[in-house]
Amino acid sequence: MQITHEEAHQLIQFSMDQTLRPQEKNTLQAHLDDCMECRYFAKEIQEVEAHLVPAMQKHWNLQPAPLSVEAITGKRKPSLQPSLRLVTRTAIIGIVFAAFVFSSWQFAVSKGRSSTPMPVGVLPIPTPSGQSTSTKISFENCEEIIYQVQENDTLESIAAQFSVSKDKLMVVNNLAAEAINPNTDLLIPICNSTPTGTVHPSTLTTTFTPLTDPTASASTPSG
Amino acid sequence: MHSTASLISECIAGNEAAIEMFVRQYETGVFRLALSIVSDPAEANEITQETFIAALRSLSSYEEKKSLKAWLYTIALNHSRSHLRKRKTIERLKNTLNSIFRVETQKQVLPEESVIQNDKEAEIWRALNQLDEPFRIVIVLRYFHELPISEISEILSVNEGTIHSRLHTARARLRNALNHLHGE
Repeated sequence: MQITHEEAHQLIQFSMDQTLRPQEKNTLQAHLDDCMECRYFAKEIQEVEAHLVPAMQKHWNLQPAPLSVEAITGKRKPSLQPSLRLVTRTAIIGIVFAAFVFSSWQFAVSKGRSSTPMPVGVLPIPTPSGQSTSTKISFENCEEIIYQVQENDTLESIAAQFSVSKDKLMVVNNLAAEAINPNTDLLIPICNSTPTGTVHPSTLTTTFTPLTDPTASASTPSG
Repeated sequence: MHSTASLISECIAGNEAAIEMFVRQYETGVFRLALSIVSDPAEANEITQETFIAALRSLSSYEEKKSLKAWLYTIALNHSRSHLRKRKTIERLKNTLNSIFRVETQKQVLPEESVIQNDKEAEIWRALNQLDEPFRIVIVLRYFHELPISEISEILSVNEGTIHSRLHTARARLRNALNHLHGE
């Protein structure tokens, strides 16, 4: 009976397990007599077996450390130990890991801080804003003088004289109309700077410098 | 000499002499089975002890359909596998930690490796350790423990046909490893 190489390999494997029936044995033998390749295969499988057993025996033919029967029959402690040990090991590794992560994070934070130290030192210096300074200055330097209206005076001429706006005079003196009577007293606010309140920081210096000039000009008409 | 049945019943009753006899009779086999799976004598001892503790606790549920040895080996196998699993978890954890700390650990060379003079034997041994677990265990039980196919089938709870096919595949792979050696 003819069999393929595949079938022959199968039969060789079964013969290694001693599960070959007598009839199959004959068929295999007949194939092996003709087929050198399958004879080689059988030889190699036998070689595997021949090396396998001594290799395993060399590594595993050890004697166990004699077990104590009390440990087996008595307490259940020994069976608990390995699992406990695993838990402690894992816990220790976990703690170490957490500590490492925390310390590296700390390190990163402190490193980041030292690289940009400037802003912290600069910020606390108090710098007054341009707006508040300008209004303060203008109110500080304002004074009111009383002016008696002369015969030919108009509101416009008075305003021009004191370098004050006409509207402002009207507001300060509660005037409803522009007409003013002679010999009445007018309150004239004289300021070094106009308290507009919207002075930009860039224009701040210009309002500072002519500090004495307006007072001088204001005093001239009155004097 | 006790019969297996009377030995079992005396072990269940708590007769220490019987238990000692039971342990002495099978401890080497159980130990070697564990050793062949975990490859560490200390761990194999631990597994052996665990196996006997578990076996004595559940001895009353032992059915005589299965041979006592096959039954014990099944327990030992389960314990060995759970040890392997734990070890893999620990190793994975270690590897993660090592990669974080960038610790270069030297690759351990097992002392036994150098003892083997024979190239073919070393190659077979290496190939055996690279086999997937189902194939490896079948080879171990068949050749190292010299168990018949029927008992291997009992221990692994796998039918005999599957055991045969696993043996065939395993042997073919080991043969390829040897051929690879010839080819070099």
